[in-house]
Amino acid sequence: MEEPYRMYIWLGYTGLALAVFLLVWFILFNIGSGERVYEEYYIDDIGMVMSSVLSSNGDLVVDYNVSEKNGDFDLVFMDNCEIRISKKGVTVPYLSYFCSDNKVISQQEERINLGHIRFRILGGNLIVEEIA
Amino acid sequence: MSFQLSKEVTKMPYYALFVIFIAAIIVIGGKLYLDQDIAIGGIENNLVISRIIYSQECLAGDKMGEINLNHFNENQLVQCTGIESGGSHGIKLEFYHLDNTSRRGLELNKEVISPCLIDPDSNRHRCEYARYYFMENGEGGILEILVANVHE
Repeated sequence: MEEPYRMYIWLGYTGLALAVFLLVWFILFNIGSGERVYEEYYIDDIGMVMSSVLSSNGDLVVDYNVSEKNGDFDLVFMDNCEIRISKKGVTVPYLSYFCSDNKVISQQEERINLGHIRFRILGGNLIVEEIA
Repeated sequence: MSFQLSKEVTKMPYYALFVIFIAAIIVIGGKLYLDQDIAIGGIENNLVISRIIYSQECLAGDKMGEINLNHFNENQLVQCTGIESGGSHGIKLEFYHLDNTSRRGLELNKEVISPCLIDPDSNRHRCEYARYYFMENGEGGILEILVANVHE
């Protein structure tokens, strides 16, 4: 009687260890391969560029180029200076950054792919667009 | 024999807790390592300072080096910097003519600014100071700026 029970117990241990291992692997995979560090880096960098652009007096064109792209991301520029970054083709989950808004310059909501971005201030309007 | 078995069974929750504890350490450690925050609070504050002095929606005058005191009010500051009352950023401005004939000041989000005035190296707040010489109606003056934000 002892051996089968002992076997069940060790099967239980193995099952538990496997479940914990899968949980750890799943969580680390989600965080690690989700390129979260790059998301954080890009969103902060673009946010600060946008804060600088919004200090402009008069018309201005600034091109932002990603020299080395780590991952494929979508960007959403909200009209309240909020910028959201998410994996390409996915809206949720996203990381967001609130840049230093300039309420005198109006903005429109824009969704683009991270790559070559052009910020244009034209007649008191900020236009963000993807350039080829 | 049965005693041995039940002893092993009673140990099992402890083993399970131990395994879960180790897993939690790995997950939390991994998360802390991978989910790093980029410290840009100081740059953000400097961007606000630049906005204040270079943008004509803020305090920049029509000519370089001139200050527009018509914009020296809370409403205009909120409009041009986007820093709203109750937010995590605060601004303190003070402008005075060199001959001390006039002095004006302005504070936005005093509760964020105050710790910087008491302890400029505050751990909970990031404080950036700047001092600029400006012309106003042909007279020289000093603009002192303090921008602070709360560490997240």
